[in-house]
Amino acid sequence: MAQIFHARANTIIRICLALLLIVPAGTVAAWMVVMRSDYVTGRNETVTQPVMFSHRHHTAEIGIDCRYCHSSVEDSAFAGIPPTETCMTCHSQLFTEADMLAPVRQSWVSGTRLNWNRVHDLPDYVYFNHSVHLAGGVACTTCHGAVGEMRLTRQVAPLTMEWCLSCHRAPGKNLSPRATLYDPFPTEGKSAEEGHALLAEYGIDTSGLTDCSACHR
Amino acid sequence: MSGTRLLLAFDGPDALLAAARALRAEGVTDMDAHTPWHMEELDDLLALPRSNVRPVMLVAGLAAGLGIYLLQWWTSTQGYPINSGGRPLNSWPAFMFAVFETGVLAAAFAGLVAFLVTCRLPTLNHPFFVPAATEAASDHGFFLSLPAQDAPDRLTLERMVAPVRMIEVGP
Amino acid sequence: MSSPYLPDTPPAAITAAIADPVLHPDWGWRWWLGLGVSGALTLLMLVSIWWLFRMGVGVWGVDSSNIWGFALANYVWWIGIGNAGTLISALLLLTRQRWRASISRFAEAMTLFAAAIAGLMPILHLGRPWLFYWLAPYPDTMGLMPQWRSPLIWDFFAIASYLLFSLMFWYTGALPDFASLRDRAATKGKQMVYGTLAMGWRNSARHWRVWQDYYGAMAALGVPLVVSVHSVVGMDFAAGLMPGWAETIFPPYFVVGAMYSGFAMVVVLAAAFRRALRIPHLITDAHFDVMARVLLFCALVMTLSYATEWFYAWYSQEPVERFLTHTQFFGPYAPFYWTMLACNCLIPQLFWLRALRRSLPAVLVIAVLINVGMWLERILIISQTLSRGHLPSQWALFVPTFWDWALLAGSLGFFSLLFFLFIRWVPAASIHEVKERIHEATP
Repeated sequence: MAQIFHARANTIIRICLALLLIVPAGTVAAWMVVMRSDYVTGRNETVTQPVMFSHRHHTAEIGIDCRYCHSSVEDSAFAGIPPTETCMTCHSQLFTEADMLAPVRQSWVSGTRLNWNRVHDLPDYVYFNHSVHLAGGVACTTCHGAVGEMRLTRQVAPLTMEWCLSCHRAPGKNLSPRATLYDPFPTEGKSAEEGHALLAEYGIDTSGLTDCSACHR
Repeated sequence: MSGTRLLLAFDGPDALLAAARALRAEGVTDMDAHTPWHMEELDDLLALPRSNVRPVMLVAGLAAGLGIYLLQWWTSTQGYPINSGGRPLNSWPAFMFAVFETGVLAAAFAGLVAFLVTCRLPTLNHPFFVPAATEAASDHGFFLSLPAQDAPDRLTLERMVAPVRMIEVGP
Repeated sequence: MSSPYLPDTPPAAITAAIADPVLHPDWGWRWWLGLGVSGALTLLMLVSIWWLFRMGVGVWGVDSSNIWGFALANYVWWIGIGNAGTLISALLLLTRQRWRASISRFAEAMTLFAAAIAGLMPILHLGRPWLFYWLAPYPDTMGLMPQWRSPLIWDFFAIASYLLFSLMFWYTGALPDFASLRDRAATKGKQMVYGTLAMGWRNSARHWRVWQDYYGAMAALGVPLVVSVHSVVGMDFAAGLMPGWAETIFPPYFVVGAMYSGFAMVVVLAAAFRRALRIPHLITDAHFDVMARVLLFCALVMTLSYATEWFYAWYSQEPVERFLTHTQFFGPYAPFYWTMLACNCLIPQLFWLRALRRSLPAVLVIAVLINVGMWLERILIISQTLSRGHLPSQWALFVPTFWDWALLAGSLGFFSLLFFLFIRWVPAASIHEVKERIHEATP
């Protein structure tokens, strides 16, 4: 029969056997990285809006409270997207000729609402409730980031279940005092003791926070 | 096992065994054979070393079983404890299925790797394959292999064990 | 004295008998016809899977009462068939039964194919089959791990381990035979393919010793593995709280049932291979005789298992169990139950007659009937219990739809397709082991 394979075949087949292990393992590892990447989670992605609305200007610079526009945030699951009327409370007087605000005026005149695009979109099988999180002392900026810095709004948290659970398992250090709940900037560096004190202050029972039914009905 | 080797071809298993016995008595060491099936007699006759495939399998199986048990214990009691019908979080009897299956699988895989590594396989290109006659080893040929430099000279071999033919296999 | 199972044959003739049908196939239109029919049925399976993916599990006859249906019955049946291959290989190797040599290779292939098909069934039944990888423990973005106390997870580990284990066991056994094919092949292409598969095997005595260490250890692991795999399948039922399922007898009862249907399938395949490869000197009448005896023994154990269930129902005085047993005999599925008892318990008693054990047509017909009976047993265990559960308001009969039958027929077609390809590419019996056993039997 003589030699069927060239001497190099020994090395080639050994490399192939190694690849047989490395490729599947590497694929799985790469896939896990991709699933956590901004590309999949939508983190840090600036969503195009009908109007170039700046949260930084309206909150940090001129000091409008979050609840002025997101008016149902304290007593409803949904924070609320303001109707055009809310914009016009100021903009019927201010910057009335600005090109940037033309879609707002048009909406006001025609009576058709502005189609704002969602920045934070959770799956429908997650029953997220804004009011219960605020009542429990979770500040806006804990999940939405430093809104006071954002000229254009983007998603700061990955919004994965892993991320939700990281807080549901140890909520203390993520809570804020009542006075700062609606601050446009997060308060940095809470100690463990402060966290414990806040848990007690808000009367949070941590035992059921990781039950499936806490978020999925 | 490196270096030039001399292959003595025989007609059948009995001639091969007789030759191996005779050369062993003559003091030839480092012998090997190439036979169409596993001849258990050769294991002792050629003083072939026992491999460490089975110890490797044992260790791998136990380690994987322990590892998957620890994973189950950790996820069930530390990572995400879920109260399911009031059963204990560390439900070890229910965990044993995965422990056993994973242990067996790991042992099998580690054994396969150990088998290939011990035999230095895959070796697709080997001096053994050069002479055409050696392909009979997987069919009906019986070869005794000895190191060429320690082998008795060919006349002596001819007289002692009367092989059908002698083949030299390069290093 | 030569063995009745393996008449004295020179080694070269054995290599020729087993390797040549692979290297120089000349089966003509029969092979192509078989491949075509199996391929068409495989296509039917793929279409039924596509339709299932598109429409959901509602295309089957399952509903909120009959939650399991054909998919799970097929699963249990296929995995049972998948168990006999390793049993024949491992158990009979350990007990040094010589007759295993010429049937072990295709029996192991049967294991691989059947276990792969079996593994598909629970996945298809998941509802969202494309998320089946959630069964594996890996660090996902949900922060979740599998629920280790769930039988579905036990299934996943059992089937995945068994499939990979069987593949390694099968490949190790076939490795020296691939070397035989490499050395016999005439074309460069075949030499390269089989040469790669043989990994440069040189039939060296040193290698044979290591090989034996590994192969023997694998056989010793294989037996408890098979028992555990089918015990897990039994536990799927026994861990439930339904009447007729929550019984301690289930794991061993399922293991024997698996051996039974698996051996019956081996008999069918052995008859097919003997005819297709023209190797009556390797798969002899004595082989069918001894396999028929195994089937007879299994039939007795199965009968005992059924009788134990009836006894428990009577002895426990548990109303739901007694009601279920009554339903089995006289309920809506009674005709199937009686048929099952006839196929699994009564008809195999014919194997007490030596003449029938040695008559190939008789063995073949009974083996097929056993397979039918065992499939009926699987679907009845599921449907009898689920259609007459604890809540009478939930009682509903299971009626299979076209897609249920399409998946069953398609899986059978896929199984035979794999075998038509197997017989074309792989030596159907163990060349080196047949030689070794003949040598052992010859003084």
